[in-house]
Amino acid sequence: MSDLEPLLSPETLGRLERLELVTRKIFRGQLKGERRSRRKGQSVEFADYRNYVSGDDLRFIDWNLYARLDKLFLRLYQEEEDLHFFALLDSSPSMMFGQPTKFRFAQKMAAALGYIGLCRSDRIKVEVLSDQNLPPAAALRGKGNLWKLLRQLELLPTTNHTSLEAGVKKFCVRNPGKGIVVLLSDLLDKQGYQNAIRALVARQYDVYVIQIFSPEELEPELVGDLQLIDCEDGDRADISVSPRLLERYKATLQAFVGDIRQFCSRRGIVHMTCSTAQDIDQLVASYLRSRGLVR
Amino acid sequence: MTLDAISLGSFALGAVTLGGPWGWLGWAVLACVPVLIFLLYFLKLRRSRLEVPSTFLWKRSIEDLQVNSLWQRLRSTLLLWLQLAIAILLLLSMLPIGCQSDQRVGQRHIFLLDTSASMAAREGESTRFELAKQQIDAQLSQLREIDLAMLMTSDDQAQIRQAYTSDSALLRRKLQDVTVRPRLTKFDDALIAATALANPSHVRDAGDQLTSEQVANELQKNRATLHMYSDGGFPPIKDTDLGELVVNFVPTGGANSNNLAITTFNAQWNEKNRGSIDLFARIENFSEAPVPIDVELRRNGEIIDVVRREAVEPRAALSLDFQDTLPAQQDSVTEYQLKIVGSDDLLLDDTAHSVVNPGRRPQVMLVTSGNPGLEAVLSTTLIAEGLELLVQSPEFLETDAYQAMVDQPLFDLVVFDRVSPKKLPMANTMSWGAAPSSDWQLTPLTPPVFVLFGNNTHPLTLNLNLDTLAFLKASGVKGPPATVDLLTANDGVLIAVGPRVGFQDLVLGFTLTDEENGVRFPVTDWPGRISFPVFMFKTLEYLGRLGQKEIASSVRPGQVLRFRLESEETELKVVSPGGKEARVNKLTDGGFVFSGTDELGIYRVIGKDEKHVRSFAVSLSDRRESDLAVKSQTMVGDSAVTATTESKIQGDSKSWRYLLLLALGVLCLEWIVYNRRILM
Repeated sequence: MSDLEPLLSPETLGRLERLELVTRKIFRGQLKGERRSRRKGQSVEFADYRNYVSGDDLRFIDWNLYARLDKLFLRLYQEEEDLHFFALLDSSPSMMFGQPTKFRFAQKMAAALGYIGLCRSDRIKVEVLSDQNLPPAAALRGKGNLWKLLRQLELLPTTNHTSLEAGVKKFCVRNPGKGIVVLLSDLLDKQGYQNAIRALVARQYDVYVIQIFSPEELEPELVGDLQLIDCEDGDRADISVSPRLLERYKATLQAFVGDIRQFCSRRGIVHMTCSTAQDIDQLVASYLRSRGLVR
Repeated sequence: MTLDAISLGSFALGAVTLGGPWGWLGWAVLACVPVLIFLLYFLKLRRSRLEVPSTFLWKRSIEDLQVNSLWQRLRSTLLLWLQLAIAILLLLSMLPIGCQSDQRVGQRHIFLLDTSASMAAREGESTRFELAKQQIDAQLSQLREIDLAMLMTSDDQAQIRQAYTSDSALLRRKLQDVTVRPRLTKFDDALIAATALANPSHVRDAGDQLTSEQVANELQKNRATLHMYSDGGFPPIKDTDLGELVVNFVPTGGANSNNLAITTFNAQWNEKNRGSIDLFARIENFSEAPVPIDVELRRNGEIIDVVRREAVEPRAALSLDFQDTLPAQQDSVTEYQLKIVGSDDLLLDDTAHSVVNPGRRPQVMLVTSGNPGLEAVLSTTLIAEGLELLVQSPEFLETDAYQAMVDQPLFDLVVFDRVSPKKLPMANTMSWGAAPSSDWQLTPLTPPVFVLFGNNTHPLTLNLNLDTLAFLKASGVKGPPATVDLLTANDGVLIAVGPRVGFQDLVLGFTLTDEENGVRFPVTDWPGRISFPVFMFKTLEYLGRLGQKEIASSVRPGQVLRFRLESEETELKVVSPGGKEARVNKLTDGGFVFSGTDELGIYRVIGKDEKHVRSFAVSLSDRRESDLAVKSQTMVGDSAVTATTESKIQGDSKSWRYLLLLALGVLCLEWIVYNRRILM
């Protein structure tokens, strides 16, 4: 384990236990879970009545109503099932910037969301984007596997250079099922983010994109004549920092984020931006809740 | 630069003139300095390297900026701009660039400096001339680069020392070369030149006419100012139209001056005593207080007289006369010097000179077959010592030597005794008993011949009693028009003198002796009378210039001197009072001309074998130059120009150049510090 700050503090764990992951799509869980399904099922929670038709299970007839109304009504109960939750982390070198690093922030975010899922007996899987054929990560279920989740997160491999599109496609190949995919990345891929997101949408995942920036990226504090070197491909850019250039950079950043948000919203994807300076508790409890990822 | 261009105060449009001491190559090298700074700025720009997550956003940010990234860099590099601005300003401050334009914003100044003798007057520890130079120098140092200035000097000659220029350094150098000269003051030429240069319409070509409106605009924009630095010791300047020229008369000199001056010093023959010289002098006191006078008169360097007076009243004159006797046959130059002993403000007028040059021994030829009477009178001591006599027989008239006399003025007087030449020589002639040329006719007179009257007004027969002369035979003389009868007999004229081109011919209608049958007998009793040698002496004096000494009148400095020498020398040497030697050559008319009379004193003319043949004196002797009172007003044309205490031009402080140099120093320091920081 690293000497870094723990991914989840006990206080955080306590607050996360009250939340649950939300999906806007109807997935058929493989196992019985604690999640109420939109489908009617056999849980203990009453959902509705309907008229009895021939062939219905007689055990769900409400005999009290029959006695009062002399008509047969069938009691319907809320179905409860488990949910597949995938936390997909970008581990490219660009994610290693910031204090804490964007990758560490993504780890914390994945841990928090994963713990919410574990508490709801959802099927939790944590993976990193890689264009290599990594073995599929083990799916975790139940609160008891929290330590496994944290260990998986701490041991996630980093890659030198990762194409967002290639990493997502490899992920899709490794995980054919359906569920919620939370993509934790900065999306700073010069080849573009569009194909990667399209690949996720094509697999009918309920996709959430959490774009992570460091404060230095949002409010760069650069001065002088600089030669900027891209940590991924070594590309260089000579700049002479001026207020006008900084304004231009911020405008470009806003435009970049706006383009992604527009791209995602057209495809029913929730896009969120985070700063590594933000508090995870606050972020999950308020920000993600307002965006509908948890409740 | 043409005069026309000067008058317009502009240069040719589009013609940028680069001057100064370096030329095109030097300026080209200087022009590279800003470029070098520009390049070095980017060479020294060492960017700090910084690793970032991605250059993606940055590249997109500067994507549009990179289209004109150079401009963006320049825009943000204030230091570079400052460096370039400093360097360019420094270059511009050194460049004498002028552009021709219709816009004339500069001023025109003409500085006129008086270099006459009065400017050499002492003023404290300096002189008026040096004070005036200092004033002009101070004015020139304030000259703006858009202004044009000209330097003129004037004494009795006007000189343009430097035409219109904006180069004040050049003007100041030219000013330092100017020296005062012992000359009179005459500003007419200088004012005319200044007026012509100041008024554009005066120097326009006839084919380049301006409209009246253009002339008005031209004049309004080009009003030139003449700064006249003088003590005002010059006569009113007439016949000068100043036009648009503005005159600032800056008087140079103090109010009180102490000066005694010799304003006149002349020598002339004493009318009664031919061997005596009368010398006249006039000494004036131009001071404001009575001054004692102590005067020395020197002849050839030796004091021969001294005059002392207790006091001469202010603005009063003292007349002095001296008398000196010269040896009758002295054959040398006599130089007189009159000197005021003591010191005053102007030394140039404290000494005056006069010169008596030796008389020339006349060349006389007697052509005769034998005439004892003539030969006897020509051989008397008084006459023989004063002339060079050459006796020839009548056959001489047929020789080439005589032909040379016809072509050149080799003799002063040729006496023909009973012979007639085919052609008269270039000399005065005296003919006895024969017509010298076809212009003359001799008609034998019928005896008895007795004299009726003589001409008592002509120098040849003045005060001579010839009425009682007796003649055995004689001829009547009739000459060309304008012939003067000297002795008239009962039947005709016996002696007459008539003009010939440049010469005179004296014809006597008789001879002293005649010969008949081999026996010589006297024709007249004249040789036995006292009047005969007197007449011959007068003839030799009048026609042969016997015993004439020349008193050379003193000339003013700068005046051209013309003189003649009867010798055959074609080249002479003139030694100035300061010892400078000059060669003068004989002109075609037989005279010599010397123009280098710039110094005061005695000029000696040296002939062949270093013989001192004559001298001439140059003296200031001018009341106006000696009167050192500074004038407060002078007349130029019809307008009075009042003196101003100082003439100020709109100055141009050059201190910003020093600031620029300071800025350049800071620039260099910045470079040193920066590079040390980088290297360390």
